[in-house]
This record gives sequence, C-alpha cells and structure tokens, in this order.
Amino acid sequence: MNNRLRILRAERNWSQADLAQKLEVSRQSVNAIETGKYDPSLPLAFKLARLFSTTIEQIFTDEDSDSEAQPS
Amino acid sequence: MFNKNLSKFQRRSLQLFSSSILLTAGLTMLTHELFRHHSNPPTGPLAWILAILPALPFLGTIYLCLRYLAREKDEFIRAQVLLALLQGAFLTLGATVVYTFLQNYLDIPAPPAMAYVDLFLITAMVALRIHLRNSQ
Amino acid sequence: MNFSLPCKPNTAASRRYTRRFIPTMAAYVVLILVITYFFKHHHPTGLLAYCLAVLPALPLIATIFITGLYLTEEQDEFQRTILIQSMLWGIGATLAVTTVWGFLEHLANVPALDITLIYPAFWFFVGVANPIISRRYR
Repeated sequence: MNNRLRILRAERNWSQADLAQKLEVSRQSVNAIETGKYDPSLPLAFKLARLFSTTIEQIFTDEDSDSEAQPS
Repeated sequence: MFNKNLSKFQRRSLQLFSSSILLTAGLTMLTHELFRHHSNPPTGPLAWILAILPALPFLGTIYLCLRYLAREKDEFIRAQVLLALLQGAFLTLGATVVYTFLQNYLDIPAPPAMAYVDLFLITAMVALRIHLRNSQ
Repeated sequence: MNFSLPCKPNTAASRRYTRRFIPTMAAYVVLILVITYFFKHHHPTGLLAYCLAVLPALPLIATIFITGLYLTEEQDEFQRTILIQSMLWGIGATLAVTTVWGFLEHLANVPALDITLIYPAFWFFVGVANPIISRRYR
C-alpha cells in the first residue's frame, strides 16, 4: 500500500516522533506504516485521517487502484 | 474437519498439514518397530539418522504452519489461527512449569518431551475449533 | 535467562507489564527459596507436598498471563504484531528442538530432555527473534 504520510507530515513540520506521540503509538510503528511495511488497522487509519483532517483514501492508495480502470 | 467454505489455499494448507502429521506418525511407528522389535537394533550414526528421520516431516509441519500464516489473505481467519496457537503454547508452557516442580520436589517422573508437543497440537486445535465455531 | 520482553516499546501497556512482571518474579524467587528450605528440613508428604511443590509454578504461570494481558492491552498494534510474530518463531523453534530431541531420546539413547528447560528456551527464542523481526520493519 502506498501512502502520503511523509508529505502530510512535512506540511505540518512534524517529525515521525511527533506523529507517533499524537497517535499514541511508537515511532517505529509510524516508520513501518510510512514505508509501507505495515498496513494499519481501520481504527488506526481513521485516527490518522482525523489527525490530518482528511479521508483515509487521501492518505492511503491501494496498489491495485491504478489498474482498476482497465478491464481485466 | 473444519467448515466447508474453505478457500482453495486453506484447503491445500490443511491437506499438506495433515499429510505431514500422518507422515510423522507413520515414520514414528516404523522407526519404533525397527528399534524395539528388531533382533539387532541399529547403533551409532545410523541410529541417529533413523531417530531424526520421523522428526523431519514434523519440522515440515512447523514450516507449513508459518508459511500458511505468512500467506493467508483472510485476516480474520489468520487472527483466529494465531490466537489458537498462542493459547496452545501458553497452556503447554504452564504444564511444563507445573511438572518441573513436581519433578524437582516430589521426584515424580515428568512425561517425555514429546508429550508436550502432542499437548500443544491438541490444545491449539481445540482452541481453533472453538474460535471458528464461536464466529459462525 | 531473559524473561522480560526484548526491545520493549515505551507504552502505557508495556509499563504496566513491567510493574506486574517484577513483583511476580520477586515472588517466584522468594517461593523457590522458602519451598526448597521447607522440603529440605520438614519433608512434607501427601497432599500438602503436592500443593507446596506446585506453588513456585504459580508465578511462572502468572508471567504467561501477564504477557497475554500485555497483548490485549497494548494499544500500539504494530508493536503487538512484532511481539506476536516473535512468539510464533519462539513456538516454532521450541517445537523443532523438542521434537528432534524427543525422537533422539526415544530411539538413540540420548539423555532425556529436561522439561525445566522448555519454558526458558521458549523465551530465549522469542528474545532472539524479536530484534530480528523488528529490524525487518526498519
């Protein structure tokens, strides 16, 4: 899964540690989500969306979503 | 054994899992026969090789289990399997701890190590059965 | 022997884990000393002996519950995932060693595996797996 967390963080000038603190998770968790190595659960994804006042779809994009438009 | 609506992958994993367990059981009986009821049982390095032989399919079982968990796409089922494995492990560890002290203080012979492997498999299976039934 | 969670995250749940774990292990040490002394000097028999012998097992069983409690209380789902994966490798490694040794002791006259070792061995393997798994996500 791809995500825009790094950009969203940069816009607000937050470090990974800042975001981790706001989410009440460890910095390592933020890094794993940001690098796409760990997919967050729905509750955590909603928490992220609320924190950035946006929607989950604006933060995360499914790898399959690019090929969705093409007929299979 | 489990419910009928298994995915192709789950069915395949279950088949591989049960075959490796059956192979372990078969080889165990075979080597047991060879060592216990043969006029001159194998000795030296051959004995070691033959003794390890039945363990090999079981090592395969462990690998299959971990591979299954890594590849299972159904998050919910994976969570149920994980929970059952942890519960089985916790219960088995509890049993080893109790027997440790019965053995140390009362000289009660503890069951052989293999009994705990069986205990783990049975408790994990029962736990999984219960979780899957409760979620229906 | 490393009984504590390796690479422990600094979360509320992990602090609660430490607060529960340390007194439990302290109780374990005290019980071992007291019960060993009692068996050496008073030679209890019957039901009393059974009850006393099992007493030191209780704190160790409690540590298993404390770990389970930690897993349910940990709000950081990623850290929870790492610990569960480590425990899975711990289970796999312990099972593998126990099985191979079990067959050797059964057939090749290798001395019987002391079951006292299974519990620490499990945590040892969890402890080895934990930093390796954590590194994979870095």
